Amino acid sequence: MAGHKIKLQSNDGDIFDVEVEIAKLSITIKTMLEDLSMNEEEIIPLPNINSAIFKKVIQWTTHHKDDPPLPPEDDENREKNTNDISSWDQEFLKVDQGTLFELILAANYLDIKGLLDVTCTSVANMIKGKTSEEIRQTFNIKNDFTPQEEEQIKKENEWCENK
Amino acid sequence: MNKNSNNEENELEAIDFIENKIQDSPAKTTWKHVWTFDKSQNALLNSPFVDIPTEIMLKIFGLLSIHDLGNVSLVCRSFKMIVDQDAIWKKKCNINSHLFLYLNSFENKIVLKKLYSKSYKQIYIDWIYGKYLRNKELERLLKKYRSMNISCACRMKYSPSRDFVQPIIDESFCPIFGFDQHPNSSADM
Repeated sequence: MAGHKIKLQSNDGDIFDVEVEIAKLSITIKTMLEDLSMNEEEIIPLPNINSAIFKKVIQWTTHHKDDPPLPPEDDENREKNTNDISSWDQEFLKVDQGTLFELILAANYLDIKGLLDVTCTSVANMIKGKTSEEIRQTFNIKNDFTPQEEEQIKKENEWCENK
Repeated sequence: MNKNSNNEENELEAIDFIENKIQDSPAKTTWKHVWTFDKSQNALLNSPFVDIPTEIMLKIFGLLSIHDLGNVSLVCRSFKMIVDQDAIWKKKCNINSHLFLYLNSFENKIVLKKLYSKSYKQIYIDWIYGKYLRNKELERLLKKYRSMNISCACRMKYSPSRDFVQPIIDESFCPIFGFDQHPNSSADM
């Protein structure tokens, strides 16, 4: 099957020829291909993804196509070192904030766990070590707490920290 | 040394301790802040977070430390509500190895688990609080022992033989958590 290509269409009309093996890193596309047994010439529409983001996604999946499969949900496992992003991925994720968040949505829609993990980690790293005001500024968020609410939450938070 | 004044001191200390305990009691359920959608979504309108579904927010916040979660909870109402979810605190409870074992001992007993159907955040807070109380009590005992050692040392200087042979036992024991008798002073132990 290697070398076989399928056609994928982004929401702004561009058609991409993508190797099946690479496209199948997306569980969404893999399921579509297997369940609908679509033929090669058929164009698969991706209504939630624009060309710019889809190019990035193809770039990522092409680089990671030979990665060993990720372990299943590690929810019960101990926290791994969350700062770990490979240098290739770091370079790949040097994009503006809007693109990063669009990549998260695309990874979520296409169900590409590795890409979702690394983009979420990247956002988490942007939050780490910042005060609430700095987080608001970074992501353009308004403070909608009343002063009393803020005061109370501060008190509660003290109970979560080790004393 | 005057025994009566000593006992009084102990009592005062005990009262102090209890009062501290009440003052410092952990936030019980007050952290359960809930706002309706229209009262919590405006803050995110101009933020890229506005399109991000909750399950992904949970994934991102789940990567943060307790300290960072505290800061995130103070960003805006919708963040605060997400930070308080079980999905995040269950993970935090599992990371803490002692708490993990403690929780697992419950999980084997479904009835108990239902009885204590607290949120994971509450379990975590209670655990930290218990640890805090234990540390405080230890600190207090340590201070007491230190001052005792000093007084022993002082005594040794003036009348070494008597006090060295017979240390002041009743001072070294103070009741904690329901044990009101020193094991050595009980006849059948």
